[in-house]
Amino acid sequence: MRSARKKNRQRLLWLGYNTDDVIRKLESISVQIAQTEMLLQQESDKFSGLIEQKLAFQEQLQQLLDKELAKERQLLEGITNL
Amino acid sequence: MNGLRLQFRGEPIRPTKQRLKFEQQKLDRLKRRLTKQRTEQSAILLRINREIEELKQQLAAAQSRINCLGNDNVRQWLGQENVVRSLNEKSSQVQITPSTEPSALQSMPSATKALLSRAKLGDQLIENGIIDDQQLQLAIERQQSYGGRLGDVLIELGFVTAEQLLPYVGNSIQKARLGDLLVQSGYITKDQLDKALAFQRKSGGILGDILLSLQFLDPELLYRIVANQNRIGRIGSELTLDAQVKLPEAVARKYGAIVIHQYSNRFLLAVNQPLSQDQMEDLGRLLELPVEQVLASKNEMELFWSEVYGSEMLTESTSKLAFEQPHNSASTTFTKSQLAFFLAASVCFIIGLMWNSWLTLIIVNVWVQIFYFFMTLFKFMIIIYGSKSGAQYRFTQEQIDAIDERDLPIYTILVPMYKESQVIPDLILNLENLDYPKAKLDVRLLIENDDVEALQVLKSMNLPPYYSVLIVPDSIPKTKPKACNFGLLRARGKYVVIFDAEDRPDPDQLKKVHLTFQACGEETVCVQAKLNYFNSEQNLLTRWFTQEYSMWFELLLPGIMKLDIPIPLGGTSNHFKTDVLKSLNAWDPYNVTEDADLGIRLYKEGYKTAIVDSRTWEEANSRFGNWIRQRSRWIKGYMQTWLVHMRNPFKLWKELGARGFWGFQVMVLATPIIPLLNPIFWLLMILWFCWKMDFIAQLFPNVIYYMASLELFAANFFFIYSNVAGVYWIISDLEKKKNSFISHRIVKYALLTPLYWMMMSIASYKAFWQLITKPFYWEKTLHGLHVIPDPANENSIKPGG
Repeated sequence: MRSARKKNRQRLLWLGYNTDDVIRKLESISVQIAQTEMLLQQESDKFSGLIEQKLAFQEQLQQLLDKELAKERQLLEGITNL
Repeated sequence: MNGLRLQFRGEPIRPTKQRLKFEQQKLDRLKRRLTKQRTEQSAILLRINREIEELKQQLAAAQSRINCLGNDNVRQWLGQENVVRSLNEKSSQVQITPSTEPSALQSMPSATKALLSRAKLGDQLIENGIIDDQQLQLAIERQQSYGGRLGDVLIELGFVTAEQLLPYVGNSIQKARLGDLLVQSGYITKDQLDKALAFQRKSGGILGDILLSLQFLDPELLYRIVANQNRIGRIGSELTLDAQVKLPEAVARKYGAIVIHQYSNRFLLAVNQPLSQDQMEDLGRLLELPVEQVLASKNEMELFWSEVYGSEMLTESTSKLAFEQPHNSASTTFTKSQLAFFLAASVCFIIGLMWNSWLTLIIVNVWVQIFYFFMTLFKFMIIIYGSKSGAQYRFTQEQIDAIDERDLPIYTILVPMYKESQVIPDLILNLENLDYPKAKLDVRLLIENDDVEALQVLKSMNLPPYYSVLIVPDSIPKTKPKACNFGLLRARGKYVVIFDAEDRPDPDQLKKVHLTFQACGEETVCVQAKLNYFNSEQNLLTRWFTQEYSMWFELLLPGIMKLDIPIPLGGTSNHFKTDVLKSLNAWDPYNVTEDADLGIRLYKEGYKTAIVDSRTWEEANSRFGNWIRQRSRWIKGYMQTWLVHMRNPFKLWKELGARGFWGFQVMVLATPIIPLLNPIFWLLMILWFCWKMDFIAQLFPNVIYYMASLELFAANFFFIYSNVAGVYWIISDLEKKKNSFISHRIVKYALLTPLYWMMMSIASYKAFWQLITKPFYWEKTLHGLHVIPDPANENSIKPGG
């Protein structure tokens, strides 16, 4: 069995098919496909995340501005009362 | 049955190939989708990032204002009205730009005093009630993260306006002198400054570099003062490169600037040399936002380059030659026409054997004998020429002493290394021994990504600032030339040289090379120093190796220079003019003897190489297996080089001329072919002397018999004699210099040289096999074996020096 495999391998090599090379190429392509899919997903998530983050910040700012306005009013009322 | 046998992982070969094609197509589709997504999102991402940044600042400012309001301090609140206004009117903010007036040579000490006597800006602003502690703290935190000037950060946060800040930052256009600033800050003493200035008068160079090379102060302190002097900020201490945009690499290289952060209203650029106002404006126009520059040290800039432009640098290091000059790249080992030629030659040989085997073998043997004969004759001629005076450039001590060090240019030293951490301390010592102004050295230690040990050793060493440690990213091919190309990209020197980690160059080598470049014409762009071994007497192998190298570098290479034929350069100590080397796309990362290949390419472009009488002492391989690995790589590299340049022999003939063409064959073809052929003729010789087999006599008819006899007796004697001559040549030279690395004791071992040739044949067969199976594989040679005791060789001799 082992010698048959070896023979097969030698024959492939002789015919110009380097099995190691084919395995390497296939593995490398699989890794690249996985990486590219991951990148696509990551970048898409990042994009959605950023939009969500921006909306959250806008909301937070609005709250703070409201708070600031309330404090200013309170202060002005204090000055007027003085 | 046949289909069953030709299978790969249980599948017939055809579907496997189809699967490969299918997977490749799938990958291409995904890549296209990714590119499209990136293109669509990039502009929006940029805008969202800016908006988020702006929102964060508005949040911080609003929080700060709320806190102020909480203090119930009406006066303070009234003062902050400006802040609210300035926040709403960001577009009208005025940048405080650094002065661009050139410093007066006779600058006034008062300028220095003014700069130093100013109290800290933040404290002054608090004292005058313009900002409060909390705001200052917030601004300082931002400054620490990204760097820049405090004033700009305060404006950017809306805590002050430019008009409010102006009285505190002054408007003086006078630039203080660096030396005065450093002395008055107490960072260096007056004596140290005087010493550095004396160095500057003697050797030229920049004062800051000289102070660092003399190790009078910490680089951080120097850069802080230089930044103050130029009225720019330093980079932040907790820097994270988060800018969403980057300058095109060519622009970044031209201006020496890298975008490291993006504020809502400006980009932060790291620079090592402050930019002029015009340059800042140019970059501002390009980026469509104003820019602020912050000062970074050389090593920090290297780090930024690797971070921001790492992939571009890697692509350039690995693919530029193959992309721009595919005809000179060994990325393809055999072209289709070469394969067709070799196939046709093999078919002819087989048909010849079938038709008339005797005649075919005799014809082949005739050609081989003619090849042997002429190669030997040519080599003999080269060695005769090499022994003549004027074959190499020699300089006396007086000539070296007469060099005005101010004229010496910056010299880049590239040291590629991999898993050689044990020789690093010696390497640093050897580089420190070089007689060259240290402020004009640009030493670049090139470490592979996975060489953790070397990196740890280097980090623990606190190297002088003219050393840069560059981490070469992992990629295919993982070869020394790729690392060298990576190091060369940002080399600052006018000249560049490669040393291996275990090399011990003669201290005056760089100065001698400078004199050689001056003595030669413009067309001489490379100077090769001679290599030899410091551990010549370690064992029999190192003695043979020393003899071979002595012949090669003392006689053969000078002879090649004298005859003006292409020089296959040695692995290290080849010095180049940096600009020419870059224009030639430097080393071929796919060629495992990239140095020899580069020598041929230089010659093809009409450039010359000179040999200088200066030596670099290397470590001879002292173990058989290690030697075979190294030698098989060299021979494989020569095979690659020959195949690359012989893709079109007629074109090569035109490029090199007749003499150059035949010289190329002698040096590059004969080196791998002769050790491949030798075993066949040794076998014939044994058969003849032992059993007098008749068929051998038939293979050497008439004249061929006399030619072969001449080769057997005269040529073998000549090759052994030339090794001895090389050794005597170097010993007599070393005796004059009172150096005792090589002694007469090794001469007698030349008689055993045929055993060494047998080892070469083993290596050449290994090389031939690897050329077909693993053409780009770099057989790594272990270095530092002279310090590691070899259990198999208890009598190994420790090297001297």
